This record gives sequence, C-alpha cells and structure tokens, in this order.
Amino acid sequence: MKLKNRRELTQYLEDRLTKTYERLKEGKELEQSLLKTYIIESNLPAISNIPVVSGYSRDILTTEDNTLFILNVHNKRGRATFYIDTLNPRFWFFHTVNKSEFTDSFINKFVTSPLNRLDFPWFPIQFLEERGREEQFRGFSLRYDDKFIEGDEDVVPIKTLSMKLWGNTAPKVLDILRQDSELKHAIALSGVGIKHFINHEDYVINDITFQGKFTARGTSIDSHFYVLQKVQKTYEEKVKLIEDNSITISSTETGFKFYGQPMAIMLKKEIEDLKSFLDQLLSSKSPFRLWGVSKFLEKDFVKINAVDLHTGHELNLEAAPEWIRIYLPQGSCGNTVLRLLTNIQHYYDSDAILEGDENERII
Amino acid sequence: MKGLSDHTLLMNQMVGLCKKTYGWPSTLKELGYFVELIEPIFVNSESKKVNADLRLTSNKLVHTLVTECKGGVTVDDQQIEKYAKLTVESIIRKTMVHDPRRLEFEVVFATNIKFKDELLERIGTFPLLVFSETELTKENKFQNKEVENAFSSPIAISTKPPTHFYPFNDQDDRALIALYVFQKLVVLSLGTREDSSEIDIDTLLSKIQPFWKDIDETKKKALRGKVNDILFECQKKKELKEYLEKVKGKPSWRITKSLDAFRKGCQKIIDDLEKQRKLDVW
Repeated sequence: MKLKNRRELTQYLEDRLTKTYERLKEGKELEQSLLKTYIIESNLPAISNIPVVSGYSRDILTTEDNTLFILNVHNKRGRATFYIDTLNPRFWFFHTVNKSEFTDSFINKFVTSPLNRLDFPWFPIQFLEERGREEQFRGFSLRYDDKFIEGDEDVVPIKTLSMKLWGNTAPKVLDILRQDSELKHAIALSGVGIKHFINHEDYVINDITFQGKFTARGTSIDSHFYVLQKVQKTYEEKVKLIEDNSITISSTETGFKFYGQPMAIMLKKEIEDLKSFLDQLLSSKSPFRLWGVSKFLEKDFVKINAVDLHTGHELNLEAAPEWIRIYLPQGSCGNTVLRLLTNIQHYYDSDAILEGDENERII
Repeated sequence: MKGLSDHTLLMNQMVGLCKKTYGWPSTLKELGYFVELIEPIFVNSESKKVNADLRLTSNKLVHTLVTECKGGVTVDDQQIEKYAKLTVESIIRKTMVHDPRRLEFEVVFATNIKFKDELLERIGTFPLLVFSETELTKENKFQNKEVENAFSSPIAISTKPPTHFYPFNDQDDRALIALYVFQKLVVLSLGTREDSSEIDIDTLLSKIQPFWKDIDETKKKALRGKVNDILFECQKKKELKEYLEKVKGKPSWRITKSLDAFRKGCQKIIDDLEKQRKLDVW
C-alpha cells in the first residue's frame, strides 16, 4: 500500500492492529500477521545507503515525509512491506503487518551482514525486566545456551534452557527459578509481554524480544507508539551513557588530554578456564562476532585487543575469572558493549551486570 | 606482569588512581584529580624543558601533581635539578583549573617496590608512591595535606591493574606490542574507518601509539624495529605467511585471507614472541 505521510501510516496501522486483534480473538487470524515493529540501530548517513541483501529483491519508495520510507522486499518464498520511520536518525522503526516467518528472516539477514553499519538494539535482561515493571507484566520467555562448555556436557548443570510462560503467575515463577542454585545462571530473559493502557480503556499488548522486536495486538496504535518511543528513548540513554565513558586522547601543544574510563561486566559465574573462554569469545563467530588476540599477563589475568566484526570498531578488554573490563575507544559504538553484555547473559551467565563510573550500575 | 614494562605498568597504575577502574584504588579521583595531560612539557625557571609523564590536577584542591613514573633506577642529578626548578609559572600555562591564582603544585615520583630503595637515595625529599602487588605505599611527604593524608597509610591492592590507558612504549615486549599491531591490521583490512588496507610502519605506529608524535627519535627507532620484527615474524611463520603480504615496492603490508585463520596465526606469534622473551632473559 502506498502511504503518503505519517498520518496515513498511523491510520493504516491502527486499522490493521484492531482488525487483526478482533480476528485473532475469533480464531480467524494467525499470530504471524500481527503488527510488528523492529527497532534497528543505524549508523548510515541516509536511507539510500541501506545494504542490498543477497537472495532478496527490494525497492525503496519515498513519501511526502522526508523521515518516512517504504521498503518492499520479495523473493521466491514471499514478500513484505516495511514502513521505515527514521525520525530518530540513530534508532529506526521498521513497521510491518506481513508474516513474521518471512519478515524475521529478512530482518535478521538485513541486520547481520558484516560491516553494514546496522545493528539490533540489545536489551539486557535487567532492561527487559524494568520494562515489565513499568507496565502491566503479562509474561516472559527465557532462552539460554551455554556456548562455553567444552568436553562432557553431562557434568554441566545447565547447557540449554528455553521456556515461555504467560499469565498472572509469571513473575512468581521467575522468582522461584532464580532461587534454584543450578538454574540461577541460566535465567536469561529473552522476551517480556506487557500491556499498556491509555485512559484505562484503550490498550496494546506488546511482546518485546531482547533484539528489539515488538509484536502488538490491542485496540490502540497510540499506545503501541507510546511503548515504542519510551523503550527507544530509554535504550538510547543507556547507549549514550556508555559512550560517555569512551577513552579519548587528543593531542595539544603542551601534551595529550585524556578522558574516559573503563566499564566492567561483573560475573556471578566465575570463568574457570580463561583460555577456553577467550577462544570461544574471540573466534569471530556468531553470536559474539568479536575478533581478538590476547596475552596472559598473569595466570588469571589477560589483556585482549579485539575488533567488533559487526562495526569494524576496536574494543579493548581485560579479563579475570570474576570480571571483564571494557575500554571503549573513542568513536566506537556503545551498542557493541550492550551486545557483549546481552550475549554473555544468554550464552554464559544470566546474572552478569555492567558497571560504570562511581559504581554506577549502567545495566 | 609478563611482557609489560615497569614504565607502562606505572603509567597505567597512576592514571588508574584518577579513574574509577573496577577493583583498582581511586585515591586521587576521590580528591578530585583528573588526568590533565599525558607526557606534558614544562619550561622551568632556568628556561629548561622538563618532560614529565603525567600532569594530574584537582579543581577541588586547586593542586597539580607533576608525576614522573620510574620503571628503573636511572635518575640523574640533572633530572632532579630540572624538577626542582619548576615553578607555579611553569605549571600555570594552559591549566584547566578553575582558579589559577590559587594553584599550587608538587612533583611526585612513582615506582615499583623493587626500585624503591635505590630511588629514595636519589630523589631527595620528593614524595614517592610505591606499588607492590598487594599495596600502594608512600615515602617522603606531600606538601598538600589532603594528599598526604590520603596516602599516609598503605592502600590495599586487591585486584589487577588497568593496562589499556597507556598502551606501550619502546621498553615493552614485542609480544605486547603485537596485540596492537594485529588489531589495527584487522581494522584496516575491514576498511571501515581507515582509507586503505595498506599501511607503512610509521603510520601504523601513529595509529596504535597515541603519543607517537611526541616520542623522541631514539625511542621511535626502537619501536620501528620492534614492529618490523613482528611483521617479519609473520612472514616467517607458515600459519600467517599466506595471510599477510608485503606490498611490492612499498614499506607497506596488507591482510589477504580469512580473519579467523589470521587470528589463530597472530595468537601463535604472540605466544612464540613470549617464549623468545623468556630465552632473551635467560
């Protein structure tokens, strides 16, 4: 559908949101066709720079609004239309009502191509939980997969854990799981369900994933936009807080000025074998996508010079069994730090936290 | 600290005192000190240049610590004399302190415990901060009361020092410098922030050592030699030979193949350089 401006988009999405919700309640609609919004972090100068994705044909249409675009994509497995809202130049919204099987697959390939200057937002566990506390919490999903296990998997308490629980008792179940000594490092929240009301009447129910996908059903598009903008703003503040810590050195006539300081990921699950841990972390492979070389300065202390293969930016680290210090060089993206933290939570220790200056807990 | 020179370690330890680095004391930060300049140059009352290591300043105390990190015992009388002739006028130019009329300063030396006794014999009454693996202690007296109080009792060190504030100098092992060389080669090969995947030794050093432009020529020469050694080591190793290529007719290099294979080759060279260091020491 060719939409001309933001008002028409809002009207169109409102119609789709309410109609599909009615049909879903009547059992006539599949969840796949619900309104979905993907938040994507962009470091591209303009929409025309978005990369071509192999296996997909695409065209980009402009609208009367210079921050709103329409992206049509198709291949032999399907087609989809995304309405791209670039009002915030760094965090774009991709709205679609097409089937999630196709749109998820496209978005994943679109964002994860190396060095394309696009990334998902990475919502750490604590960030998702805060969103749940701010609204009416409806449920959660967990996904944990210990990528650092070597050898006999049978002796490891938890290798993988996956769960989805919706309903009033969900928060209580989450608390119980966290008290279990074997499970506690594997409670990696991968999504939350929240319900947001406007005027105690109209509402949206949003399922939010840790990579910034919002699936909406309900009666109010304004409510959906409210949730999106609030999450986007809060996340952007976290990214900027991290970037404020970046290490900056500038040359002057009388010496070099120096700003910034390291942050630290604090682990509750100690790293038993630093060498094996780093072999996995720095292997250049998904999910961490970090290239790096290391040097043990002591048997339990290692210096690491890494490169984020997603952005091509440098990232300097120090690791000990209980923590990883992060020195973010100037110009490197704060989202890189949140990707590292979030992936450590999902693939090693769900209790990991990020600290900055003055013991300030960033996440 | 294997492969990290005492000077590089001390620079990082002192900067760390002005920062909040997980596990490391923030004694100077708590007094309001920040790193005003690294490798500052002053002119003393006899019009002689004084090259210090750090200028640490506190707006709260309106006070500057001119810091010399001593990763050895080589202090001559001339150097001490130069420091002794520093005046507040030497310090005040381009300060960032909010009330320069009240600015006071003093010179402080920092060292590792293994050099403490010999240094104390040579530095006169200048205060000396001494790092060991477990504590930070002070010798002689600071003129500033707050600073004197802050260091009057030993400060426990419970974890590892920071190492990424100041990367390396000419005294560091090739294995340590290689970390920065390989990291920058990968960034260049990805071609996102740099213009070309080819690079010559001086440009490479200026990108990995932020203080390169002010390093004196003797030290630059030593660093060029070390980086050349690292790159030629790559050419000698069969693991990396096919991944790193010397550009014909130019003093430049470029990466030619897969990153993970390159990483494994680089890691092997770092480990081998570490072993060579042990042999050199032996």
